[in-house]
Amino acid sequence: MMLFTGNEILEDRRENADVCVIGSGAGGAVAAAELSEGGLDVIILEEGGYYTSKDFNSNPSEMLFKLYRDGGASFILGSPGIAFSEGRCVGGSTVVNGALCWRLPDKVLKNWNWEHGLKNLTPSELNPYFEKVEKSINVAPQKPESIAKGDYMFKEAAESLGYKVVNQNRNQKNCVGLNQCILGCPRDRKQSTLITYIPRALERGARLFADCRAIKIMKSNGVFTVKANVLERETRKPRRKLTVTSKLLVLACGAIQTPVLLIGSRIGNSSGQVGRNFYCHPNVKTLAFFDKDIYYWKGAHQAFKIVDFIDAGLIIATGGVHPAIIATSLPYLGRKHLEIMEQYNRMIGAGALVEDSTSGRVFRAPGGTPLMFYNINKIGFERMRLGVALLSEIMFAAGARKVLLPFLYLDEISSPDEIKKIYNPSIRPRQTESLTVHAMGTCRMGMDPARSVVNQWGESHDMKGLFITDASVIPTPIGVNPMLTIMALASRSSQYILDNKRTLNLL
Amino acid sequence: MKLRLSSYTQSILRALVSTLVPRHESFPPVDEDAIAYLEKSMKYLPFYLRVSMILGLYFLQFSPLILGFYFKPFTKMTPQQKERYVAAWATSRFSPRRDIIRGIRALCMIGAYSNPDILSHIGYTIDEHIQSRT
Repeated sequence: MMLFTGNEILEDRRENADVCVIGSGAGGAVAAAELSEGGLDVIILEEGGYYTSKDFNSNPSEMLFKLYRDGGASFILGSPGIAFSEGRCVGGSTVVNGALCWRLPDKVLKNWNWEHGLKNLTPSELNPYFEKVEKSINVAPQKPESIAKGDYMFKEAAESLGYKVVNQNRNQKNCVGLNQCILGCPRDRKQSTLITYIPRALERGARLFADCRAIKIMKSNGVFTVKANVLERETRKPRRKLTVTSKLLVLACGAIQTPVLLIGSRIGNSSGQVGRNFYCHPNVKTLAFFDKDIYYWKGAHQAFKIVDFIDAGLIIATGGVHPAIIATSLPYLGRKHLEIMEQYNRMIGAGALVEDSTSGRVFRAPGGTPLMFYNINKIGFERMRLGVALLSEIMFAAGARKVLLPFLYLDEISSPDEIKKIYNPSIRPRQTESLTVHAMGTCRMGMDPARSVVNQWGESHDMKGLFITDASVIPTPIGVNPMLTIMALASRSSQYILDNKRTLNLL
Repeated sequence: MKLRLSSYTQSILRALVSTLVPRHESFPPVDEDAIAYLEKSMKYLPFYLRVSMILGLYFLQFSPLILGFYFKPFTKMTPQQKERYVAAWATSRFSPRRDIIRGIRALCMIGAYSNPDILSHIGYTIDEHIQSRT
């Protein structure tokens, strides 16, 4: 197995391959595996470290630094400021996400069709790719015994109010509900790319360089050159240089890093669209408190979802996470903070994913640091209010005695009669606590080179042989968890590359 | 920008952390866990967040002299004064003040709630849960 970590690369190094894939998450791993299996010589560069389930544990103060960018403390500037987390390890965010698998809604594809000219991206065109990916990562509903009591309470309460609740499909195999998804599954039940696509790529001879951060890409005489810093595994300091030359380049660094790399390399941006059209599905969450122990963390993450409000731009679900993560969002100090946390076993955390109705922008600051800006608009904020109101309604129906809200000056309500306070016009977006784990857009796909960065196959309009297979190609908000969409689009791009080896100079 | 905080900056941070972290007789103080996590986070945060955090700490330290009518820096306040002052920042209508407390509090709480004693105090028995399910 050709896998190298930063500490194993002891001198500056040059490598050559047919294809260099930058990133090993949902988009990069799929491309690397399928291109390797198609007979191409592939190199994968991954900025994060290589960690397996033997390294995973339930201590967030250790795992956040190993598996997340910025230790999980990234931030999107704007109104409201949005806490943002993404994976940075071999396997990318698929190692630390909630394993929620949604196909792209048909209405979104129709939108892509008429707004961006992507006429070939139809449900019948994409379904085979979704099926292939779903089989590879074992997408399935949870077994009933792995689901937490809190999730069942949420389901019953929502159904009693007449809402339609369905099982979440998750990429898992025999998940027993350890609820360690966001810190890495310690039993390899979550089928992340770390244990699915990456091993497939390595088996077919792909070479994986972990702890290697790509800093510049160039193309001359039909050959791509990627310059990367080899980072020391613990300190993340650059120690050596790695230079990779390849005939074809696949960028899959995610919707934040990919535009930064393109802007820094001064390529692929004749449209001026790189970094623009940044979508992030801002989330709001509530915490409901009950008079009895619920242990909502003893079960699989987000086993059910309410689907009635998808057309209104909302998905609603519960999700148990480590107390340290809950603690970060409580608006209290010292003793009062502890009094809330002492009720950890009697609480249910639930959240609403809000489909974007506006977009932000990613800039490259000096030194290559991304700066993300996003201001929610009126429609988005009304969706947030609606999400919080629905969550509160459901939790009171489930028997909650109070619900903590994400608003600075309306931090809790104690009865359903108080839900109307959520619509008080004095509550402003800037005073709202929001978070997200979905970054999309920034290198959007489209048929018009003046309005988009890549074509329908993910190939740059500006530079032949430069493909993008991550969430940055998603041209509009999709309103659902994007992992499966990223993987299906990456699979489609890979198939295109394999079908066009000759024209892409890969033969 | 140095990755290690100066001893003066650390003293401000310690004073702030002392008002943020939970305390209870059933578990030992978790201030050191919180500070260790904050210091480690500084190495991983983007440059602009590191700078904002340090500038924010100095703003917190000296603004009581001008804005708070306490006529002494934050580190010289009594514990009750510190608590009132930080609470005012946390609910301020001026969002940069809120964001400083929000950011530091979030990092501080990850450090504090990674401590096994405090997790045991709130009844989070994850190891037992993992054992029982596998």
